[in-house]
Amino acid sequence: MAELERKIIPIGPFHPLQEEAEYFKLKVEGEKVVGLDIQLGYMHRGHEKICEGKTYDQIPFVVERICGICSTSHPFACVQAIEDAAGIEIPPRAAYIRTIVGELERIHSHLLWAGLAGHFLGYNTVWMWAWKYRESVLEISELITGNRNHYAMFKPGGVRRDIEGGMIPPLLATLDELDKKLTMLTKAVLDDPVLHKRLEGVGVLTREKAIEYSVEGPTGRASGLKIDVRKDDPHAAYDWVEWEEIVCQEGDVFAKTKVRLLECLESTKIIRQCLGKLKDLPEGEIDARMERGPDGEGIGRYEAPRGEVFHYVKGDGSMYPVRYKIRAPSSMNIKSNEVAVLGSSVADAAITLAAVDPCYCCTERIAAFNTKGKFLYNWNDLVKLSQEKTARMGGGS
Amino acid sequence: MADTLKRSQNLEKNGAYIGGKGFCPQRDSEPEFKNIEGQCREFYPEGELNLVRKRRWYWEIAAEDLVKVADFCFNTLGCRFSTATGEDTPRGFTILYHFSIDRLGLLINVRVILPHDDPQVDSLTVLGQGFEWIEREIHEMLGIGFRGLGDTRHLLLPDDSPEDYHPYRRSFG
Repeated sequence: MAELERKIIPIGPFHPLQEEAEYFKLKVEGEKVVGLDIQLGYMHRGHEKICEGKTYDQIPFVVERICGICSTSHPFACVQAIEDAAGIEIPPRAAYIRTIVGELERIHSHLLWAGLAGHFLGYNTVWMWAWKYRESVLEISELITGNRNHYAMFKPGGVRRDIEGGMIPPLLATLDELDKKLTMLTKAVLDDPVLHKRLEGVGVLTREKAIEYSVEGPTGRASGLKIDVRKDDPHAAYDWVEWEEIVCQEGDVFAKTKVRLLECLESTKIIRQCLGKLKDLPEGEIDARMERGPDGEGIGRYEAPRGEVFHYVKGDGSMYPVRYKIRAPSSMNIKSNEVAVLGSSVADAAITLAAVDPCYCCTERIAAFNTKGKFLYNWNDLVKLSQEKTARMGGGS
Repeated sequence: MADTLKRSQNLEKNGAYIGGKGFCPQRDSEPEFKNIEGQCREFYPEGELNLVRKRRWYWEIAAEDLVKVADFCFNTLGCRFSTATGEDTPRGFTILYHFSIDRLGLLINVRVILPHDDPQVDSLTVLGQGFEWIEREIHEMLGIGFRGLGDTRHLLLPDDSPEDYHPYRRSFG
């Protein structure tokens, strides 16, 4: 057999899957992926440097703009870093409210991923269902915070808005509805024989590689790593409510789907318990006063929908930090694509690269050319290849 | 839909392993923390280990022993590498490597200080691929050399930004 010509499929620089523009160079021989080179930096905005010029009250607003989907994870880690450095204890009511907002975000983020993953596979029913159910989560967020996203709820020492008693019954009613829909969606997806065939054994990240690449969040938990900052490093109200950590062993795309969908159900459990506890706490006690800027170092960690968000702050007693470091989970997870995508077929590349749940972007621009400059694929063709493979297995919609 | 529900009575049939109920029993165990502290002090007595808070330890070590100590954290203690923070301070360039022991929620922050005139340190990519991107970032932002780091292309800065341009450097007068 003649040796196959090695080609490069460039995905990017405005990556169709990521909110941050990224550039994946997929090296293929025939249908088989033999290498991947990832280039970043197109969206570098210098947030760390911007934060050094802002006061501690302003920083949560700045870091909230890092990501449009997990917009509350960064302020969550940020206020914890500042509180760690300043030695502030937050009131219990604020801790419960923070937890509620954080978990609402997790549900809508996971549903967003599930919908997009369904679309890439040609399961547009999953896409539409997931996004329809996501809508009710956004409405709850709007009721609590005034915004569907970018909630502006967090400040060093507590939260900026209370959840009043009158809001709780309608919230609980919406949650009950949501729970039923989520259970139905989860069972429908996890029980689908075509999805089993299509996703099992695809894009496997082994436990050893997961440790070597230090991946985290659902990507790590799907590979058998029992890591979840909410459990491990107790903060907010995660310590005071009952919930379970979802861990799978297989490391493939199906396991990642399973982890995310089951986590949504855990999140509604957490929110319901927190809302119940709010009734027993006096209204209005939602913040502690920060008298002066911290003098020393502090670290805040939060389990964002994609993994651990890490913020480090160093202060000198003034209201401005000396050094502010931010690390989002995708910067650890995306690199693991280098091994997860190896050996898979081009038709599986779309879903494998999407499986770590990098932030999505709607800008699509890829093109593949062979050495003579002949046009081979664009992004839509790759999605089509993926959808056709599902259809051949007897599924899709 | 009825069919779908009928087919799945139990999510665990799909092979989902639900992590242990309740909380990790080891997480708040004082002997575990003492044990880790003892191992650290025994392994590298020259280092300055500050237990600033229960789950936030800072460990200042000599730059030439970085690989030895990082190997101890990553492989012996089984830490996950979280990230590293580079900073330009009057004392020199500091790099703070954040290692996390997840079962205890403990962060061990290993600090090295490098001189302003020739900042060089060994690369930790020998331990795992997870170290590569943050070293590339510190390399371009602060101009610190990592001995043994194969790929020194720009990660965040534009490809054509000058080699001697390091935006996170400061001037102290």
